[in-house]
Parts: sequence; C-alpha cells; structure tokens
Amino acid sequence: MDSRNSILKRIQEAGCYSADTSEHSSTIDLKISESIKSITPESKKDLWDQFKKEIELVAGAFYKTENINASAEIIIKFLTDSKISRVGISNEEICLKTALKIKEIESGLKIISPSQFDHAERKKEYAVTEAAVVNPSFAVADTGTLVFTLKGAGTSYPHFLCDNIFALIDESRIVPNQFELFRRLRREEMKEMFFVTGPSRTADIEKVLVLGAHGPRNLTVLMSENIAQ
Amino acid sequence: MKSPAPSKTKKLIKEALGNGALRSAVFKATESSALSRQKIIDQIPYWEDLRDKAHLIKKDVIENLSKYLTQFERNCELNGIAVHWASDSAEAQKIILDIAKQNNVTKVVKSKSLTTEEIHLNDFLKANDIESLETDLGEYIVQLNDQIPSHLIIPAMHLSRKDIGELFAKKLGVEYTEDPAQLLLTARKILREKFLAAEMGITGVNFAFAANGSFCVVENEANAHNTLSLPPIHIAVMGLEKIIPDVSMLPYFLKLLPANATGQKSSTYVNFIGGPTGSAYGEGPEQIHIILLDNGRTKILKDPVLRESLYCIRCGACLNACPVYQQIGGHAYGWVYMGPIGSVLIPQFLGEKEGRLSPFLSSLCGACTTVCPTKINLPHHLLTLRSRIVDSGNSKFIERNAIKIWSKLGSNAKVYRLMSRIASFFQSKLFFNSPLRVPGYNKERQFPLIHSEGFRARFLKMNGDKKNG
Repeated sequence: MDSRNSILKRIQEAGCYSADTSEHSSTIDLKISESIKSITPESKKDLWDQFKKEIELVAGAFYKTENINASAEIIIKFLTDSKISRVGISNEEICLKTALKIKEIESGLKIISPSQFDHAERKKEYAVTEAAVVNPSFAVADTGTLVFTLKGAGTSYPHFLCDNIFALIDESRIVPNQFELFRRLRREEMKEMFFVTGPSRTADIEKVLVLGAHGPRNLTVLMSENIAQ
Repeated sequence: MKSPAPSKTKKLIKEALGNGALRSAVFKATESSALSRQKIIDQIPYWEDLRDKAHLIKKDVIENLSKYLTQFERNCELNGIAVHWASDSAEAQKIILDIAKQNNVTKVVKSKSLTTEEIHLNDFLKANDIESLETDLGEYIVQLNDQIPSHLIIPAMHLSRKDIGELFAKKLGVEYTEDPAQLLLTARKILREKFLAAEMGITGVNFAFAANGSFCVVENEANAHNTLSLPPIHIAVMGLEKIIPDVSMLPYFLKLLPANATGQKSSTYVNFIGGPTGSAYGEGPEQIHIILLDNGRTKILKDPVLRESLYCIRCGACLNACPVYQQIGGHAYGWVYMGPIGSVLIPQFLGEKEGRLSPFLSSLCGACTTVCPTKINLPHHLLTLRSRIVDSGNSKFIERNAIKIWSKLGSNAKVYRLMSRIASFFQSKLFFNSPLRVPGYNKERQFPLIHSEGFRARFLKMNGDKKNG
C-alpha cells in the first residue's frame, strides 16, 4: 500500500465521526456579524479614516489626493529628495499612466515594467529598483490592509523587492473588513493574491521593531476620489 | 544542529535555570508579547466568539480529515500543484531530495516552518550536499548558532543582541555591533543574494483550503514571499491538520493568529498560492509541490480526546502565558515544539518513554487554555498524558512506589495514624525537626514538617475549639 492510502486508512481506522456543528456555528456567526456591525463605520469617509488610522499604526503613510496628477507630484517629490532614478511598476494601467506622468517631469527616470523582462532578468531588475508604483484591488479598513490579486498586478516583484512602495487606490475600493472582502472577491482571484499591511518588519532581536526586513521599508497609500480621471 | 532529546529535559532545565541572561530575555519577551496581545484583543469585542468559531472549524476538520484531505488533493491537482503524501520524516526527506536531484538543485532557501524543523530538513539537505538556508531573521540567527528555535514565533528569543552581534562578527566576519537595525541589514544583504540565486524555495503552510486546492503562508518579513516567488521550484511541507474547509473561513483565523502570535491586528503579509505562475505571469515557480506529512499525526487522531491537540495553529500564545516556559525557555523542552502545546505533543509524537517528563513541565494553572485561539483544553490533556505515562511504567521507580505505599497507608486510618507518629518521631530525632528536601527539585522546595500530634488529633482539637468558641 502506498503512503497516501496507508495514511487515509489510518485516519479512517482512528474512528472519527461526522461532527455536525452547523447549528452552533450559525449562532456564533450571527453573534460575530452583529458585533462587527456595531463597530463598523457606515460611511465611506469613516471607513477611510479608519484605514488611515490603522495603516499609520503599522508605519505606513496615507494621503488623500484629488487625482492622478496630485499623486504623481507626491511621488516625484520623494524621488527627487531621495535621488531615486528607477521606478518599478505593476501591470495595471493606472501604474503606467502615473509613471509616464512622472517621466514627463523627471525625464531621466527609468521605468521598470514586468513585460520588459524574462523571469531571470525581471527579478534582478526589480531587486535593484528602489521605488515602485502599484495598484491594490481593495483596502481593508479595520486592519489597514491592501489586497493585491496576481491577475490584476501580473507581478509581485515590485511589491516585495523595491524599498519604497506607492500604492494608488480609488476611493471606491474600500471594504470594512476581511469578512466583507472575501464576499467581494471572485473565487479564482482568491487563489493567487497577497495581503500587505505596512512595510516589512521584524522584531526577532530582543523584540526591537525594525522596518525593512526582506521587503519594503516604506509604504505610502495614495487614495484618490476618482483615480481614472 | 543541536537537537536535544526531551528525555534529557531535567539537565536542560537545570542549565536554563542557572542562566540568568536567558531567563531575563525569555521573561521580558513573553511579557511584552502577552501585553501586545491583550491590547489587540481589547479592540475586538467578538474575540471569544472567534475562538468558539475556530474551535468548531478545527473540530469539523479533524473529525472529517480524510474527506477534506482528498478534496484538497483533487483540487490541488486541478490547479497544477503536485501532491505528495509522507508517512514519516524519512519519506518527506526523500521526496524533497528526489525533487531536488531531478532538477539539479544545489541551493535552497527556506522560510520559517516548524514542520520542516520536525523532519530535520536542514541537516538532511546539508548531508546531501545541498545548501539550505533559513531566511527568517530569527531562524537565520539560530541556524548560524547551530541551534533549534526556542520559541514557535520568535526563534532567537533566548539570545541577546550582544550574543547576536558576537555571532555575526564570528560567523559572518562583519564588524561587531549590537544595533538590531545594523544586524538586520547584514542579514538582508546576504539573504537577498541567496534569494535571487536559489533554485528551490521551501516553506511551511499556515492554512490550506480544501474547496479550492490552494494554501496560504502568513509572515511579517517578506522572506516567505521571496522564498515562494523567486526560485523556479516551490515545495510546501504541511502537517495533515493544517487544512480548513474553505478560504472564506480564513478571516476568523487571520484575526486570531496575528493577535496571539505577535500582538498585531494583522500580519504584514498573507501569501495565497494556488498553482504554478511561471507560464501565466512570466514569474514565480514553474513547479509547486505540497507534501502532506503524517509523522505521528494519525496516531494522535486515534485518541478521541487528545486529538484536540491537532487543533493547534502554532501561534505560540500558550508559551507566552505559561509560568514554566517563562522561567526555562524553549530549549529545555528538548524538541521543536515547546511550552504547554509542546508538553502535550512531545509524548504523543515521540512516545511515552522519550516524552515521559514533558507533561510534568506545567503548573496546571490553565493560563494556556485561556489564551488558546482554538480552545484546546491543555491542562486536561497534560493530566491525561501524566496518567498514561504512569500507567505505561514510564514514571520513576521511586516515585511510583512511594505513591503506592502512600496510597496503602493513607487508606487505613489506624495504620496512617501510627505511621504519622513514627515519621514525626524520626523527624525530630534524626533530622532535628528540619524539613526534608523534595528530591529532584532545588533546595527551596521542601516537604512540610510532619506535625507531632498528627492530622486527626489536630482536626478534632480544631473542631473542639470551634465548638467552644
């Protein structure tokens, strides 16, 4: 008998029973959802306020901008101050638009996009790129989390290999919590995605918090009322 | 790699108790973790309901394990993930080595995984001329120091920044510094190169989802994402119990795990893996393998009560709450799992002989159960295991017989009275009324003095005093 069958046989021999916990489970679900409802802000503005508070608690930065131009200006200021000449982008159209906007002003800027390189080259290029412009699919208010689907981004290298991340997001993309998020996501999207809550961090040495462990050191969220305009 | 045996735990405890720096480091870290945890819980009014829910989900999974595992297997295969089943460590090691050999792999990066610690993967790969490097900062430190982790979540909890500074200077040839940011920078620089050059990445699994054949890895450092996305091959090693029915149930656990593990409202990264992405996106692994590891889990499953220990999500909260762990740290338990959950798992995984001391490393105060996110009744399981260890003849000869004699004497009032008087007489004549030390403990642990009057006489006297009063 191969290992698969012998493991399954041992499980069956262990004499487990089919525990019907559904009724008790539904009662708990109801209690949880009522409790969540009582603490969840109702308006979009309040949800974004909650998101801002949470992301700042985990060392992220948050700006509300009027449009893509205003977001680009914030990025340009950072790039100029930090003398950064390479910006990585993910596949979403808004990232390319913003990068081109930045390039109009900073002509020396090199834009790194995933389609330019094969796998081996792509990881090396992003690993030496200090800033990235990305576009999350959702923001989760109660934890300050950004949600990226691989289908949308087409890459995760800018999100993880670049030191300074600028996340552009439309005001409409806020959800109150992860329970709601999973209701909004498509089943296929759930297989290939990643959640980001602040810059990478470690407290492995005497519990001293240090940012920028093996991923980004800074995360800035730029929320616009109408990102497409 | 030093991997002390649980049967040597007495010696290890003595060493730990004699190490003031270790005790102070562990106490400070566990105390601060417990405080951060409480701060988060105070903001979640439905915390207890979350624990109830998580308990029910895990109960359903463990009671219907074969159903969920076969469903997971089927869906993984539809997603292009190769599923392997391993009965024990040796089989899991062989599967990994075969994949490595077939693909000419010589460089492996790993992210923190207790399951791979359980199968001693690093030592095995090293013995087969494959470089296997831990990439979580704490794991990297303990690997450099030739040790195993001393905490489920904070592997290098037992080391001070001074120890780590000296270690880096000695092993990596860098200038000595105690600054955690500088130490991290050194590790990051070295490991970034290793990530880019690795031919295979190995991770654990936090939760696997039966309904869609995907799984997730939760982390803070981004090393797990780099491990599973940069090399062309990804192997995930998963204990059979890590499955949950559906990804939509994850939010319950994503609230419980980070609060309990690190005192965070959310972990920094949650990575979802649902198949090779190399051809679709031009990056990420071309092959993904998942190893479903038994290694004693089906043995635990046999016991209808103790199988509850498979509900564990490895958050480490029971360690931080445990007054015994706070004093002795993780290495004294002698295995990769430590603290209250370790004390329950060790005799079940390694056998009652090897793990005969582990269930006794507890004061049975119940703090562990109070914090457990899946409500595992740890003190109850510790008592059950203690009883089994005695029944199986694995307790100490003197202890076993002393209790037998005590039970004989104590069940006969006349004999008991007589023996009390004799003991009291010898105590005063031979030991000058000084208390006897409890064997196996430190000198402060003493038996109480035997009262010369005996319990019965004193009780009657007390009762008489009460009546008169």
